[in-house]
Amino acid sequence: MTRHWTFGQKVGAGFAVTVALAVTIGVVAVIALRSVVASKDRVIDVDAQLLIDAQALQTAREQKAVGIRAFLLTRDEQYITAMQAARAAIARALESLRANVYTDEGRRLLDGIEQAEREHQQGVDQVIALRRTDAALDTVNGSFEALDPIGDRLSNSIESFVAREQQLLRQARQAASDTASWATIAVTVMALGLVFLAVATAVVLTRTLSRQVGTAVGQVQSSSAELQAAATQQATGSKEQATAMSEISTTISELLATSRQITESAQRVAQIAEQTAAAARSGDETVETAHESIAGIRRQVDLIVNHMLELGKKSQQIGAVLEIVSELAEQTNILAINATIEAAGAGEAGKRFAVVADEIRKLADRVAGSAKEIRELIDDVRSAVNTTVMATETGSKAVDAGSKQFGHVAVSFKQIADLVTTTTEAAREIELSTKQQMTAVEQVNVAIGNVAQASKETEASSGQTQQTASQLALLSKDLLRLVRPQVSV
Amino acid sequence: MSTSDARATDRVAELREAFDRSFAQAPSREVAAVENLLAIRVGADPYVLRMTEVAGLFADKKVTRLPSPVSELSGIAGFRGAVLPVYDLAMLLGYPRAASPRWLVVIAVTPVALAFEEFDGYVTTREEAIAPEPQAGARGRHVREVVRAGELVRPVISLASVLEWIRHRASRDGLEKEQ
Repeated sequence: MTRHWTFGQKVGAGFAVTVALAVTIGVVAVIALRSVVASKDRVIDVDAQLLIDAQALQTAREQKAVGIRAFLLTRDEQYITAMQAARAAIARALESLRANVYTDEGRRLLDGIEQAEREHQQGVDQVIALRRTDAALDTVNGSFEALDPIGDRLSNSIESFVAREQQLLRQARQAASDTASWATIAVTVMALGLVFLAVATAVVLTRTLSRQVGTAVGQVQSSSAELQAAATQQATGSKEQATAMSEISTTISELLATSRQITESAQRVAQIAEQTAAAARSGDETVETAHESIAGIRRQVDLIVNHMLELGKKSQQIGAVLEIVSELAEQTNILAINATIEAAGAGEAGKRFAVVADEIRKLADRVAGSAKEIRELIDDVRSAVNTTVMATETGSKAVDAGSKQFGHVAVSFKQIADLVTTTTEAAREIELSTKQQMTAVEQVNVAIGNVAQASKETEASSGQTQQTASQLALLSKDLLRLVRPQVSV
Repeated sequence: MSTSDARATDRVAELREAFDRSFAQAPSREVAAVENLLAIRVGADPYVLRMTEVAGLFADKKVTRLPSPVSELSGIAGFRGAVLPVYDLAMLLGYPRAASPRWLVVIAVTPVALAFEEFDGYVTTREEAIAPEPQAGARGRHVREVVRAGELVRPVISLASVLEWIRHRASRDGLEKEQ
């Protein structure tokens, strides 16, 4: 699980252990110091005070003795006062001692001291009272010397107490010194342990971090190389992109010019479409007029057809009459021939008749020839009439077709007019759309310019990135050299 | 149009003059030296008939068909109050039977009619123009002479020969019938 710790966590954990040990050491040191201080305080506050009070007691005992002796020598009352002051001091000292003493032996010794002092004071009071009398000094001295055993016992008790307190003071001081020594040893041991643990943590952290940092630096190195390559590619791509953007910008400029031309063309188309619409309306009216003219032509053609048909009928009638004429001519010819035959049979008398018959025959021949010519002419006329009728009918059909075509043309003109109107609207829409497109293209051109600028900046940035990647690669090498000098390249 | 009118006017004037002249001239003395012929067509071939052998020319006569062993006999028809036999001239000349012969001639010697398809007209020629057929029978079984008019040569049908042949057929068919 520790493998997934971060460097901060690992370093923090190491420092936490170190800090915990330091805190422990500090706590132990504080406890030891407090113990030492308590011991010293006890030595100072209790044992030393007891010793001081004991020495004050001993001093007050001596001052009391001095006051007594001085009064006994001088009978001066002021020494009595001094003696009482000394006795008050003895009482305060005893009270202080009794308050601080903490052993039974001490209390027993204090009881002996208090008992001896009270007995001694009683004897002193009797000596003082004797001195105030007119008793002899020797008597007084004798009485006073009689108090020496008590006084010696008091002094011995005080000395014993002082000696005991001195011993207790030495013992307490020794105990405090022992405590301080123990604390010093404990703190020293823990400090050594802390140093060892800190060193071990540092070694572990160093090895772990060196390995991981080395691996990371290696990866950073490879990543730097890849980043350098990517930056190179990006620089190349940015350069190409900048070039492409320049080309696109040029193309967009051309497109813009084309859009302007399209706009102008759309305007011209709209104008031309309006003119075309007017022309289509005029053409529609012209077509209508032409349609009416064609209807008139149609009526005239019908009249011509009727006349031609009438002419054909007349020609047929002429043909029929001519047929009769031809028939008559043929019959006349036959008659003339037969007359000639009969005249020949009549002999000499028929010769004159034969001449007449021959003339009749010739006349009949001429009539037949003329009838034949007339027939040919009539046939030509009939053929011409038929051709004319057919041509006229064809013309009539053509006129009908033309009329229909003109109808279609009129419809087409209307459709053209409608379509031209639609074309006009479409041209205007195209014009508007092209203007919008031109605006959009201008915006695109500006955007392309921005993109081209951005591409150039990207190219520069790629170069900077490439340089940074190179520096990073060098830095990673240096870092790897710092982390793993044995594997540094 | 004016040219056509002028031509027609000229034609009319010419015809009128010719007509008047024919009545103004004296009768020609050379009429006897001229041979009158009838130009016909049989089976699309041109022939001529001597008018001296013809008693009459007719057209569009109704011919009533008769059952007869003589295949050339088309039937009988009425001519000026007489009923005459009508023979197909084409078959007599060796052609196939004519589809609908319109024209008829009556032979002068014997009252027999011959039917043929087309009548070209009445022609006159000098007698010198009529010459014997160099190769007898080469232009038909009843052709003995030809008429030359420039490049045109028309065989002359001998109606006497035709009549003889009809008689021969009639007599032969009569003998066969009697037998």
